[in-house]
Amino acid sequence: MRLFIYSIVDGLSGLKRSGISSLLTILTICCSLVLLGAFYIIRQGLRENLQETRSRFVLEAFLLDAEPKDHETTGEKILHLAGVDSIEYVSKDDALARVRETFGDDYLALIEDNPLPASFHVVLQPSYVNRDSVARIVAAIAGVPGVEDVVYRATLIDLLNRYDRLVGAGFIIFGIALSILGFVLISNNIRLTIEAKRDIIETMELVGASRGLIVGPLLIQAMIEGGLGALFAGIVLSVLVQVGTIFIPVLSPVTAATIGVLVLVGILFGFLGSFNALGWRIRY
Amino acid sequence: MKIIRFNNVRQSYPNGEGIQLADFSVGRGEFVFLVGPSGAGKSTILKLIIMAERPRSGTVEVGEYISSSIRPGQVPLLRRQIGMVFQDFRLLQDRNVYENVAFSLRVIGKSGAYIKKRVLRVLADVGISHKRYQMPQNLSGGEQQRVAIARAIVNEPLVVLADEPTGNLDPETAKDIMELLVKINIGGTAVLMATHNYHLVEQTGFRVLKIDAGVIRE
Repeated sequence: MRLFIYSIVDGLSGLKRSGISSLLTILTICCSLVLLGAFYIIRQGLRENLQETRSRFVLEAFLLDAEPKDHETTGEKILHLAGVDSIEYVSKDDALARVRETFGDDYLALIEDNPLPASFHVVLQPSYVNRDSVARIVAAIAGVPGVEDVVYRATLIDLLNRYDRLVGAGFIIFGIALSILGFVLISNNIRLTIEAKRDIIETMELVGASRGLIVGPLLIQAMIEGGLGALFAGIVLSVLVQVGTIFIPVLSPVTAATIGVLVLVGILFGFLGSFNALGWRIRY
Repeated sequence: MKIIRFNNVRQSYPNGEGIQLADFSVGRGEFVFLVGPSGAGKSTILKLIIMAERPRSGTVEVGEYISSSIRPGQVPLLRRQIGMVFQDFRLLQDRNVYENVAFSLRVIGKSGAYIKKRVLRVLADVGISHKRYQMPQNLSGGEQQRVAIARAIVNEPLVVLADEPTGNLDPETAKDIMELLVKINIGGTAVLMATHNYHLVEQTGFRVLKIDAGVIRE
């Protein structure tokens, strides 16, 4: 317990003692995490955008002529199918009104009876908006009594899927590359800071300091630097996103949770970086 | 009672330097000079005592620890019983005088109140208490060596090892440091001082261990 308290107190003092060196470490961590955070925010924005597009995907189930009560029964059966999120009933009159609204009265003036069928606009759950699931749902809806035909924009699904795969793969590769880059940058910076303390560490060993007494404060100092760097990165990102939203509306706002995750990542990078640098340095 | 004992110790390095034979002991409360020219192996002897190196053959005993059986985790415990003074002072450059001396007591887990009382007392004993808030780089060589001596004796070690402690100092300051080490010895702490300054050795009547062609005998 005494070692833990000493490590915290001396780790905090170490920040002050290291001065410029600590400031540079915090700055490096901040820059690395701004890069990582910006990547994460753009990825989140694109994913949310993709999800929103999927949630707007609609199937149209055209109905056979029947009593409204029968249409209601058909609607309930469609609503209970797996993957269906919601349905909207469009009666024959509603359909006619929509056509009039789009094309004008003249277009239907020659027709005495309303030829348009009633239909259901079926909204799917976003995770079901892919070629296989949609084909399955379309077949199931087509099999519901009272449904005459089901139509949808198959090309939109292919487009969404291709976009999804591209974004997913691209972001995995860039995410890993950026994480490694960030870790190496931070780790190297901490290694240099610790290398500069080589004489101090050797002297501490010579006066009988145990491994814990030497390593503890340095680990705590690096973790504090990591946390502070990440906190500043969070603040910088918040400002960047607020400005960036003017030009790129899909950007997600930086939430407290995002900053919390960044701080945890910063602390973890600080810990791993210093642990890595100290591991071979202390002999006893 | 012997606190350091070298039993037929041999140590060698790839460049051919080393110790051919070391067979001697240092008793409690003794003041012993270890003399020999530069490169004779004086620093090797000190490294063997603090177990920074293990002998190629023979054994080194320091207090209750023996080089052949000491575990890595016990090395810091051994070093807490030894005070080290170096030619280049080796102070912690990122801490002030007080913190440098206090560190030796933090190492052994002493309380804050004890550390404060003891550090101030020892700083006064070595005549540097008025500079306790100064950083090492703002002190003269003699002052830095006084701080190093204070750090070496603050936890009341069995022995103080001094490796050319006057090597970087002017004659007047060297004399002061020498007097300080003698004062510490009079207080009951053994001192083993490595030096190549025969003139300094001749001025005192203390026991001398001479390294001659890599051999040290009683």
